[in-house]
Amino acid sequence: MSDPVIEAQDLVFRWPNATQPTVRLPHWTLAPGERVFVHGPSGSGKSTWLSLLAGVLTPSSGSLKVLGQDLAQLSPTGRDRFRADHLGVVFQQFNLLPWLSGLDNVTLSCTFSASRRARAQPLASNASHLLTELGLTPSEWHRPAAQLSVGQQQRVALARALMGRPALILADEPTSALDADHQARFLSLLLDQCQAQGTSLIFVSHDLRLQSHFDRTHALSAGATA
Amino acid sequence: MKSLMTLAWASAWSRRLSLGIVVLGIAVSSCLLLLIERVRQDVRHSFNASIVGVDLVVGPRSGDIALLLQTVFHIGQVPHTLSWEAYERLGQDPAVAWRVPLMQGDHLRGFPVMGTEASYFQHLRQSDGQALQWRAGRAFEGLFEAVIGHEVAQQLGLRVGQTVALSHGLAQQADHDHDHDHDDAPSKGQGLTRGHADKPLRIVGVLAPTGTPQDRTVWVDLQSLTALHLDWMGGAPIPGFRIPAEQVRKFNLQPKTLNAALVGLHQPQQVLAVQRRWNTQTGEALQAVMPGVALDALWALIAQFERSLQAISALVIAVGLGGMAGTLLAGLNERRREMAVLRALGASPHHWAGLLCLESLSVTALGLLLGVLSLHGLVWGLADWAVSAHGVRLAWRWPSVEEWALMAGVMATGWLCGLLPALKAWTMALSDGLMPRS
Repeated sequence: MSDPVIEAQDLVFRWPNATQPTVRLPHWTLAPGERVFVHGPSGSGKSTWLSLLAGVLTPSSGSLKVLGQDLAQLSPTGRDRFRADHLGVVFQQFNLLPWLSGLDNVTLSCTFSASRRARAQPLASNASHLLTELGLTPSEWHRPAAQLSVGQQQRVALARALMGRPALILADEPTSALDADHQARFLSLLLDQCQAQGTSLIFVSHDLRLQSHFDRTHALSAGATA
Repeated sequence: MKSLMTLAWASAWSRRLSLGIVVLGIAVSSCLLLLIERVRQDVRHSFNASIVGVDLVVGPRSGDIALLLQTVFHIGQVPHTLSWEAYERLGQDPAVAWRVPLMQGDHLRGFPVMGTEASYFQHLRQSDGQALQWRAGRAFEGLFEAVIGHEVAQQLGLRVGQTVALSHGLAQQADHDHDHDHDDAPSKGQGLTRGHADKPLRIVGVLAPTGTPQDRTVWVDLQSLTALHLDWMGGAPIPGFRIPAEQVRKFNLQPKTLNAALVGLHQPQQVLAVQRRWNTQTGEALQAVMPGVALDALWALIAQFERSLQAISALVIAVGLGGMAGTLLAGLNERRREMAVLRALGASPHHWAGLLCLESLSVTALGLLLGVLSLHGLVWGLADWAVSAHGVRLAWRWPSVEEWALMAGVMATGWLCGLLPALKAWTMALSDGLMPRS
């Protein structure tokens, strides 16, 4: 088996002035192409965990390696660049810059990373290919993002996360704002694309019905050992 | 970097209303700042350029500035006069190379008329030191011939060969009956309101524009002025007494008094000695003024006022740029999602702060550019009015060193004001983490 995409060892994160650690992971790994469903109650540190993986926060102790790179050894700017190079992120909503078109929002993911831009060439045709795969028509993706429905916006956000074949996609409740039909459709598109690209996926949701679609489930509990 | 610029532009365009108002405010305030500086410089230039080539102005004792303002710029009045004898003695001073008499009198539809000698046009210089240029014609040579400035010719539509009648009195007193004169001057010749229609002047020359009050002046020979007033006394025509134009040559047309004399020296470095000699003469109370020194005194006098104007316009700029900082700061909260999206895509806090800096600099630059453009629009639009109403030529020209400095100051202040929202953006980017905090 090849090197894990994520490898956490004795990972602890504690907010300043907090008595209990918010995140504690003695040992946790994610294999390439593996898709994990993460759930937990409010305050269980889901957002903090994602921020750690994205390199926006650094562990209080222990080590966290993403693609073999210990994030704590990078400078803050280096971690930002690492995120731009290797990660795709999808939020629950408000993923897009509303004044840009859907297409421009997709190519936006290559703004802060030269290597990603290089991988995603030719930008326009790759972006429109992804958007087509995700069921968006050219007339839709040329519209300002503000005029798209929430479901369409989430698919544009997904296309953006997939641009340049990142190793890992972090999805933070990406289906919560969608109705049941769109949820199912979005989820299958997400899983298909990750499979097609060989991308690992961390999917955070409180909707336990969705966990059957994933390789495994990981439960976070407030302040507790995972 | 190019895509960052387009990103910043698209984001700013989505907030174009509030940013547009900020740009407009900066445009208006920088236009005001630059306009004040421009008028200040052009007034000085216009005044300084009016007496190039003149080493001393000699006239009755009255005060440096008053004498200069009256003789050269036709502003105000000096109650005393310079006697013809004193003028003659000036010519005998071995240091004096040339002298030209000046006698103010009458006006031509609001433009002041100066009595002098034809040599005036040889001795006076343009601001660049060149001799005065002729647009048409020549200097006056005899009685009832007149030379007019460029502005006079333009505004009154006068050409060489035409004849005009002067109105009696000084130009600044005549402003209110300007239109009246315009209609009636050629025909009227009755009673107290009578002008000089019985002795019309023939225009023999038009000067090229100089950008000084000279453009607004009519010159005649001193003797013409005397001749016009032979049958006048105490500022009014003598009732029942007329001397026709063809008979004036029988009279002595030498004036008894002058307003002042312009003097050029053989050796300009002797100017202090000559000035002292004439200032301390016994007998007639005379005064010799160095025009440059008197003008400097005038500028020093109004410097305080200028500084207040500049301070006010600087404050207006500060308000405009402060408004920009406020608008950008207030906008940061609404841009949290935008920031979160860019952060998730790998933007660093310094990218985000940089975008804010770029925005404040662009807004300042755009406002300034608009301000400069409207300044030039104003200068272009107001030039005619400024010349005709105040004798100040607002020339279209590239910004002066001082104006560049002001513009740089505005940019620097804009940059400083932009640092505050940028700093705030930076700390927000650090504290917000990956997810937008709503």
